[in-house]
Amino acid sequence: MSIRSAWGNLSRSIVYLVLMLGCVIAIAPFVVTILASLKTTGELVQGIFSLPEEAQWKNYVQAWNDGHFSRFFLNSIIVAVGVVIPSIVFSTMTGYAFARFRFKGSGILFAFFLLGLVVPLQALVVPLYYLLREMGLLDSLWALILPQIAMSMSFGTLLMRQAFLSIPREIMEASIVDGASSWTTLWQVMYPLARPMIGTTALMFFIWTWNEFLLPLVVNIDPKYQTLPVGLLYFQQRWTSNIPVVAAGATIIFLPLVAMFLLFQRQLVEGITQGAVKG
Amino acid sequence: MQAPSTPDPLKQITGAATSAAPVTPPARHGILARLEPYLYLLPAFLVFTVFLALPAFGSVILSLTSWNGVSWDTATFIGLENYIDAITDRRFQIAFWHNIVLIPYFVLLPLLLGLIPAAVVHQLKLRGARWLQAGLFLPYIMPGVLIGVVWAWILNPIFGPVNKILKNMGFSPPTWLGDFTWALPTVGMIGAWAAYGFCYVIFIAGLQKIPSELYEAVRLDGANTFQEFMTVTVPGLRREIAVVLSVNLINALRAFDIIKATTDGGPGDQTQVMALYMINTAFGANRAGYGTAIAVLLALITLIGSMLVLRFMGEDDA
Amino acid sequence: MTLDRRELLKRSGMISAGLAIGASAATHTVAAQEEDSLVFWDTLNSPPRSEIVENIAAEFSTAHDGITVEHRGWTSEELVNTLPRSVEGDQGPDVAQVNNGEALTGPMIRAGQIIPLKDYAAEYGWDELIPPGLLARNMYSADGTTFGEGELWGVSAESEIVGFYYNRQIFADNNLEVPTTFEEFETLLAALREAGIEPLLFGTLDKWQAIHIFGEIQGTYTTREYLDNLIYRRGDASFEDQSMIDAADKLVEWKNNNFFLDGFEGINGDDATPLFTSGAGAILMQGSWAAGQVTTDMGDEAGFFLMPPHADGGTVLSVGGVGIPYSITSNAENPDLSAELINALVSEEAFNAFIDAGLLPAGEIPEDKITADTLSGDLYSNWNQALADDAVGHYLDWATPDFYDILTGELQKLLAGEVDAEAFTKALQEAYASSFDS
Repeated sequence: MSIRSAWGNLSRSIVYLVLMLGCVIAIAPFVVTILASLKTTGELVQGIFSLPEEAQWKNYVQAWNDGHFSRFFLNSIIVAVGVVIPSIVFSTMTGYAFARFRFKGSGILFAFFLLGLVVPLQALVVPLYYLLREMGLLDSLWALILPQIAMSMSFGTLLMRQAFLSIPREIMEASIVDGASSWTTLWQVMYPLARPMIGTTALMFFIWTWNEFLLPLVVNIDPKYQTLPVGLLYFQQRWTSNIPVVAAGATIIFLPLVAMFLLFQRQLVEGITQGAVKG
Repeated sequence: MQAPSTPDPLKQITGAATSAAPVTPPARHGILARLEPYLYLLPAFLVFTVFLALPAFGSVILSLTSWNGVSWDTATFIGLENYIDAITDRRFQIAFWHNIVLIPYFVLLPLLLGLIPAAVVHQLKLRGARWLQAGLFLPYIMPGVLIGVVWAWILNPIFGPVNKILKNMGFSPPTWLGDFTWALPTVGMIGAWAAYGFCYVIFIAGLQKIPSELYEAVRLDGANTFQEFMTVTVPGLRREIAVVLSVNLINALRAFDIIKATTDGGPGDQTQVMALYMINTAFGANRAGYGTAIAVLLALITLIGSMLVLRFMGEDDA
Repeated sequence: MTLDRRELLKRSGMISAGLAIGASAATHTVAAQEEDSLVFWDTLNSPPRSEIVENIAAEFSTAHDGITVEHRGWTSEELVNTLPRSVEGDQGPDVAQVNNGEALTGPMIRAGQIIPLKDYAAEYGWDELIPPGLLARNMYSADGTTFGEGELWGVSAESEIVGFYYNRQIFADNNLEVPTTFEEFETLLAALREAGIEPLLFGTLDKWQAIHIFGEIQGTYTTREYLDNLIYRRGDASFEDQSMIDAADKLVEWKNNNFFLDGFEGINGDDATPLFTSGAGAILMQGSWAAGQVTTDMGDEAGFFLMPPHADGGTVLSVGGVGIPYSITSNAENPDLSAELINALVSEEAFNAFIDAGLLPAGEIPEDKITADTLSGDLYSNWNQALADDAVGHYLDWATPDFYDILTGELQKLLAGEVDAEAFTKALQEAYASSFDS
């Protein structure tokens, strides 16, 4: 073996090691947390990687019941689905409108829809709170769903317009020549062709909504209407001195996300990288 | 983590007006036909206007008033006074400075930690790194609160593993999130941890798009690895770098979730940041007008930051 | 995942979304119509205290059949931050613990967010439950501008006093006795550190215990009159007082002598309690409200003592007072019912429930409940003595509405060596003085 290839092999191994180290560091905190969630506080103080004598599943029961995680989970799902589906439907419609039609004011309207890219939630949340108060929507799931649909509009419109523009014009023309209405063209022809993009967009919306923290924190005080991220914070504050239980709560939250990630990994990574870069 | 902001919204806007013309439907007269596009926009428009545009506009108005958030008639118009107060407010200045301090941790560190390994892996044409990518990417999809809660207990000086290991090795480590000097850097490192895998994955994907002919060309000219890196890799990843910079810059300036779950601005004011200060003043201290002014400032600062990044990356457009 | 599966997922997702949204909307409107419910918020967010109030709530509910009584426990800081705007947003409770003084009660009275309890007090005899010195802490003038006098705005179910739980075994093993003077206490702490035992346990990451440790030390340098003037804002007391400076210096001295738990700045206040009960340290600084948990974990192996006075005489004002009082918010739908609930929370039954758990209810503890050489015995006899000596101090964060943030911020700086005693008291005085202008 020449020195060159020996060096090649060595550097390969080193790089692999570094990559693995990076990967380990990325997931170690979660692994350690799972381990901690099965211990008692006493065992926790003793050793880090030591296994518990008896897996303390009651920590999970406590988190699920006392910590109301069952409620938070349900709310998170309702809100996520309630945001993603309308957001996809609406963005498809607006993206289509801007891609297919030429109409007065389209430039201004498009810019208007892009407003959400520029305005962060932080700049909205204070007046939004008072607006929701006036509408009597505080402490409801609507307070979470409606604003988040609005917040998805900018990115959604942008992406969907992009997706539709990249479909060859001939296809759309053919459908029109066939006498199809624009609505039919959209849902029967364009939409199926844009499915990959729609899929990844939906995935991204789901994750952003699932992870949303500031909005639920501010507008919903009643835990009946609270979502998982805020629920976790309340939980941490209440059980602060019982770390295994807090760890159990944290695990309840990240395991589904890990599952989702593994299932949709390719789409997710593709979506975030392509979607962000394509712009 | 926050949504990535799209690079160059301005280009998109001009693009919308002048690029490939949309298809005009065959002669279909009537009001309904002309209304068609507007009808498509209508539902989205309603939700968007009520729940985003209106509050955005309301922010500007609210920031020009002094109001305790109780009843509408107690609001008084005070012009730009809130903004002047904010800029001269020592606690806001501290918060702003802390966001700036987080930039090297949230933005530059993950960039390097992602870029260099990605370049090396790409160069060595390593395969089988797919599943590693999965693990690396994981922190990015977690809610900030979760990241905060997990790290808070890991860094707990009594119960957490980090200090236990360090003490066993004979060090006497600080209390990290409770330590005056270490709190902010610790938060920064948590942010870097959350972002580096994301950067790596973005760069790996981007690297695959660089035509290998470019590399061969410079190699023929006798370039070494470092020169290859600087002349082909980095420029080739221009868009990816811009994305990574923008996204992470926004995370640095708008940092909130992680801090709320770990230090809540403390100890003292050591990890106070603009978004947290904004919420505390608007709701905690019942100064809705002032808090909103801070929010508007935050939005402006973020916008300027993003534009600077794009400008900076755009300069390389030879 | 194949396109078909994704399509199916989406279709079923759409249907379930529709159902879910419909269902949630329905439950929301139903809940809005439900008027027969009472919600009360307080800081009793962990057992055994939470269990006591939840039992009372359950009994109340049965006694007034049809009414759901909902309890929600908070951390004190989040409650203060959330309560006012929840009242404004009509999201709030009927009854809530409102932190005393300018910390929250004053501002809420002035904003019309809680209602006066004068008439209910007369009806239920709430004025007689605790001595006048303590009652004053729940009183404000009718317009909410003067603290410490006027009429009643809140009713306390518990008493509070901050002191030191100690591990009897560790003391015995090291030939230590409960200190009777401040100087003895210092010697004791030094001896513990020498012996390699963590002397004094508490945590300041979530800030509030910093107020307590400082207050405890300051209480040995101060006088009743000064402290009352300061907290009741009578206008002639300043934070730039020798007692404050001495206390600040002494606090830093104790820290530098390693009397405090190694790593106290990095753990939360409540984290120190399980450390103490697991034997990781000798003394725990905590309030009487933690007695329940200490009793559960350690039984009578723990004892309790208050901060002792300096050797050259003088009194000590221990941090404490009344438990955070329950008030009725202005958007309570049924104030009469709310008042009844409050009465249930301060009834004799509640009183005894607290005692059974080893906790400190409002008022003086009858002699027959005090057993010598038990944790509760120590706690109650010390409490009764403090009451008799009028030696129950105050919580310094009651001084102004944002004093909690300012005081804890400055304390963390003081403990980290970022500021010295003079700068510390100066910053506090600036904030305090400016609160008189607004």
